[in-house]
Order: sequence, then structure tokens, then C-alpha cells
Amino acid sequence: MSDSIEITFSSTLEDMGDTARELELFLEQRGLAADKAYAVSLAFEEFATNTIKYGYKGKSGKSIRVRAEAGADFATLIIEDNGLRFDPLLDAPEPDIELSAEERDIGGLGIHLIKKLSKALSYEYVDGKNVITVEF
Amino acid sequence: MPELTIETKMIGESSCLIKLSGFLDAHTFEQLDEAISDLFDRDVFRVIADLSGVEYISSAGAGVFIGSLATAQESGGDIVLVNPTINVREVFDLLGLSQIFAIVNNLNEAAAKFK
Repeated sequence: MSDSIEITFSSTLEDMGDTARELELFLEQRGLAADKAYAVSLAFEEFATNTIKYGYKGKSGKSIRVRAEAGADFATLIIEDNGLRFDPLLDAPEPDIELSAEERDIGGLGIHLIKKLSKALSYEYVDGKNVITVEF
Repeated sequence: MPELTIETKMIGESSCLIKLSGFLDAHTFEQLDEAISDLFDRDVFRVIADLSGVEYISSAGAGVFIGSLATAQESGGDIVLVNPTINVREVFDLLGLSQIFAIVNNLNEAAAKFK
């Protein structure tokens, strides 16, 4: 069995969902610990959703490529797209999680979560592509 | 495609139990948003959300609860979360939601919050 997987999918929530299931199956087959598998799935959803909604402004027919490597106690997730340039480490709002309910803003929550759940998160803009790498 | 199941049950005239099962993510969060909005439209602002069957929650799902909480509280109600699974609880903790939501272990404790 390969220790990596690569999938290119179309920029719709439906295709993202199908890809998420393939990714989960791969992580399960690799024997990745359940808490890390949950974090990888979450990172995939958060970044892919951002790309579909904001990077591609909801347009379908654009492509997103995801690659993952995993073993029993590690995983690396790489997500690439040709959407608007967006560095999640610099451009995403940093949510203030100390605020009261009425003052809360939901922007930036997904990236905040992934920063907390991952070992490392990096961003590159290469040949017109956003490339996000997350290590667990 | 993983799904979200929502069962609602009125408790008296002003409280509602919402039992959620499955995945609360970018595909399904609107179902929950509509269910809660429907309660608010009927002046039901005391909401007990049973999360024991939720296997997965993302920021899209958590955002529904955040967006609804202020409305509930401003209208004299609240949203009480019951028995989240470990993964769901961790997401709430990391987002600082454990500080603004009442999170209890069972339905009896939830009902007591509205007495």
C-alpha cells in the first residue's frame, strides 16, 4: 500500500466531500491515530472550503489538488490551488476567543483551529499557486 | 456523503431539545442554522442541543452555535450544549466556546439550567 495519496478535485462542496471520504479512508488504512486523523480531516475541510468560497469566489470547475502522506503517528497534508493569492498565516483574521457571545466574529476560526491542532503550518505562493503544507 | 440528522422535541412551550447526529460541517451547517432560526421565529429561545451523536464538527458548524447564542441570550434564553464527544469538545475548547456556552453532561443538567 502506498504511503501517500494525491487527488485533484473540482471546486464544489460535493466534490470536496467525496475527496474528504477518500482522504479519511487513506488515513484509516495507514493506521493514523484517530485524533490526528480528525485533525487532518478538519484541516482539509477548512482550507478547501476557504479556497472554494473565497479563493475561487464560489466558481465551480476550478481545480484543487490535495496530497497527503501518513503513517501511524504522523501525517502531512498539502493543498494547492490557483485561486486568489491568500496566505492564511498573514491574511486571515485572528479571532479573539476571549470575547463575549455578542462580540464574537466567526471569521478566522478555521485557520485558528488548524494552527492549534497541527505541528507546523506553512504557506508558499509558487507559479501562481497557493501551496499550504500542514504537518501533524 | 456523511449527513447530519436533526430531531427536535419541544419541552413545554418555551424550550426545545435538538438532538444532532452525524457530521456538522460545511455541507450540513445550514440545516442546523435553519432549525435554530425556525425556533427563534416561533419565539423559542431556550435551546438544548444534544451533541452526543455528533462525530465531527468544523468551524462552519461551530459558527452556527456562535451566531445563534447572542440572539438567544438577548431574548432571555440560552443555548445549552449536552455531552459533546471528545473531538467535538476539543474543537469547542480550542475556539474558546467553553467559556461562553454552558456545556453539561446530561439532559437533566441541561433542563436545570432553564429552571
